[in-house]
Amino acid sequence: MRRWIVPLFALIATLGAACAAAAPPSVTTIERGEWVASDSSVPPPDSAPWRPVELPDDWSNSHPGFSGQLWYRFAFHTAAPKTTQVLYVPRNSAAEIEIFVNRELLSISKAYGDARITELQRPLIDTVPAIMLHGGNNVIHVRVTGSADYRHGLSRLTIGSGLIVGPQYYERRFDLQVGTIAMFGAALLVAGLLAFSVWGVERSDPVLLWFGLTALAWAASAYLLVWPPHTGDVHVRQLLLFAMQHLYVVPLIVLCLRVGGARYRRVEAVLWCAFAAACGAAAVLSYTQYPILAAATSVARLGLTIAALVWLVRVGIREHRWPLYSLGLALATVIVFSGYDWARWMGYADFDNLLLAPFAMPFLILALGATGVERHLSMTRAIDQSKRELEQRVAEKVREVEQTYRKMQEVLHEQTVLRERQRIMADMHDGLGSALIGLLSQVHGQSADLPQIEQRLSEMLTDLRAIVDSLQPVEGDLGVVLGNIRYRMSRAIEASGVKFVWRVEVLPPLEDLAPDKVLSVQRIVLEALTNALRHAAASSVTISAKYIAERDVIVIAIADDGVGFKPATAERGNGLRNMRSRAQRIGVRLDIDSSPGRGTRVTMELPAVPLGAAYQRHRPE
Amino acid sequence: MEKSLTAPLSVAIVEDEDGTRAWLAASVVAHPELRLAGEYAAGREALAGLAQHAPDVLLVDLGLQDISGLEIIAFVAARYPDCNILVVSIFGDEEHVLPALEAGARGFLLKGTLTRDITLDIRELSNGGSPLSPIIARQVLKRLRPAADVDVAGAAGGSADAADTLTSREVEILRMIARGFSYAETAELLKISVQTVHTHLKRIYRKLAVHSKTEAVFEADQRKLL
Repeated sequence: MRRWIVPLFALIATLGAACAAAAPPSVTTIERGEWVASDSSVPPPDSAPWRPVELPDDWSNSHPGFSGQLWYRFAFHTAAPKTTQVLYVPRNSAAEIEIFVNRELLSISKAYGDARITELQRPLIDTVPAIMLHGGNNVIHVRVTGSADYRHGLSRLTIGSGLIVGPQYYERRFDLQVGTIAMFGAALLVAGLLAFSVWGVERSDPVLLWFGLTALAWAASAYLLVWPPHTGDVHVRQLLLFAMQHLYVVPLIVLCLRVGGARYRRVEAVLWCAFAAACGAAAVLSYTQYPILAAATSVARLGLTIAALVWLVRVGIREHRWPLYSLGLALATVIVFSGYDWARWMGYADFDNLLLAPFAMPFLILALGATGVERHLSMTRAIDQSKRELEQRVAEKVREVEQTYRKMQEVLHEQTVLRERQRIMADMHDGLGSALIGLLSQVHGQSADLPQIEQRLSEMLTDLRAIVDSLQPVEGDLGVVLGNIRYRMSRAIEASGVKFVWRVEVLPPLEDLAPDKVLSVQRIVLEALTNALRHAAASSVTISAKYIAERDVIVIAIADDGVGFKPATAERGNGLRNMRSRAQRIGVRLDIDSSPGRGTRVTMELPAVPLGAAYQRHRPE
Repeated sequence: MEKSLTAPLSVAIVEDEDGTRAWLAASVVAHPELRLAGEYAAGREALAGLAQHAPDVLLVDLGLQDISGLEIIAFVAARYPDCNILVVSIFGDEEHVLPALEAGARGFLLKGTLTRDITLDIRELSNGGSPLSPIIARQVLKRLRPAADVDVAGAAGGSADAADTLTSREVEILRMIARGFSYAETAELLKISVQTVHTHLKRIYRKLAVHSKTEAVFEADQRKLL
């Protein structure tokens, strides 16, 4: 702390020195004179019991307990002025002040606002026409009224050319003491409203609420300080003064607790009650009782601020956070500046110096800013964190979905395999199995007809090969399926001596050419081909396949020029029935066109594309 | 195909099933154009015997008891490049035949439809490979996919072809075979001689073997991935 206090006091001393700068030759600062207690409304005669005094004269030190009117007399030497001069008082701490130059009234009594309600004590300036002064000795009389309850008295007087005194003394002082505080107040008002509105949007953060309240309390104090309302009622005046000095205390303490992450309901309740009670007391206490309350609450205020600072420092040691530091800095500033004001008040520092307490306001704005930045950063971090978590969760979900998809694929694959297995088992059981048993019984029954057995075995082998071929990868290529039938049957075709014509065109791939469909197509074609070779007594057999784009179908035809038959009375009914039921099962249109003597033509029509794809292709534009 | 052989072709048989082996041997013996050079029931025995002398034709079953028929194919193909290897298979399915072709086999005989005239197969074989089944032709097409920028103009003359990709003419031939056309029909439709078709097929077989070597590592990787 000591490290801060020394530079701070140095800063303050510099400011004070700047204001009470060494007077240039054309400017005279009066620091010595005489005074006399008199109720006279005009300057008392020189014969009055004048006694020496040094300025500034703080009555609470020089005339403790005095209330009433004092006259001051200052003699000064000057050359005959050519231009208008001004008289400047840095701190107008009189309830009323009247100035006489060479016993002529310079101005009527003045009071900026109510000097009793504000500690600000604005600077005062007055014009002295050149004709009022003369070369050589001049005399100024000042009448000051005041009371013991407030710090009344008289500051230094500075007289000189208005061109110098105005800008260098009065304006500088006014800007610092009044303008700056008004500006701070306005800034805090804006900051407070901002904090409030943010809190209104996001109620989750009480720190912002208390920042808003503290800032607004300070803004109100600054307003009362700079523009104290005129009121004749002493109780209202006391209430305003009390409010001005203490309004910010409880919100500031609560803010410290919130920033430190604490909430002591009872302590806060007690503070609020005490504040309310003190406000009530300020409003009802008498003119003489009020200073006692003010002194007591000022001590309490200082004690609370120090306690809050200590608490913040302890929390700050534990958690290194910007708002804690900046708020601690604001509190420390309040304490130091209030302490300095108190010291000046008590006469330990130059009475004419500035009121410093309002200069703690920017530190509060800094603390607010730091909190805002911290909230923003932590929010950004939280958003980042939640984004990362979200990404992680999404990745997990994606993994789960992928796993599920893989499992589904496995299940689907297993189902497909199972279905194929069942189909093959059924084929084995109904086809090959029963055929083998039939053959076995023939062999056992001694009625063995060897050529017939050989034919049956060869048929069975053909069927077995058809089953195996149906499981080969053809990728929707019906041409390969048909070609494979020819390949399998090539020996039988050659052996039959029939002229064989192959007219398989390039066919579009079928998307639904599953093994069972392949097998059915194979069996139908094999049956038709076998019939043509065995029973038709044909001289030529033609197998053709083509794609008919208009109807989006593939047409396969097995035609012979043999004897033909009457389909209605066909003795080969069993084989034809099989062909028809197979075609029906796989959704293929089958036509058997034959009549005696005119050959046979078996035609199959397969939809070239599944329904969905067909719709896509023929969708109206 | 009417060309008669000047000296009988020596044929070796590797088949573990006694019945089939006896039948094959009998078929070979029955034909004057063929000479039985050896018959083996087990793979190791066959490897030992084949190391001694080379047959003109090797008939080999894939499903042996001790070692895979593929090993014998690879051994013979490496040792005797002029030996024509025929796989004896029940079904002639892609899973069995394609690896055999890649190992160096030139065709396959189907058990059961074994001809009364086995010479036909063997002669076709020495002409340029036994008939490819449409399914196998399609798989070969897929496996030896030609480079994307195959020059169509140079297709007829056989452009400078890569060691393991198909030329446009080879693709045309394989597409015809895959649709079930015979070699003669293919030759007629493409307006080339049957002999040219056989030449192309010989080349395709060779490419398949080359491809299997260059792609072995890649294929292994791909299978793992799939």
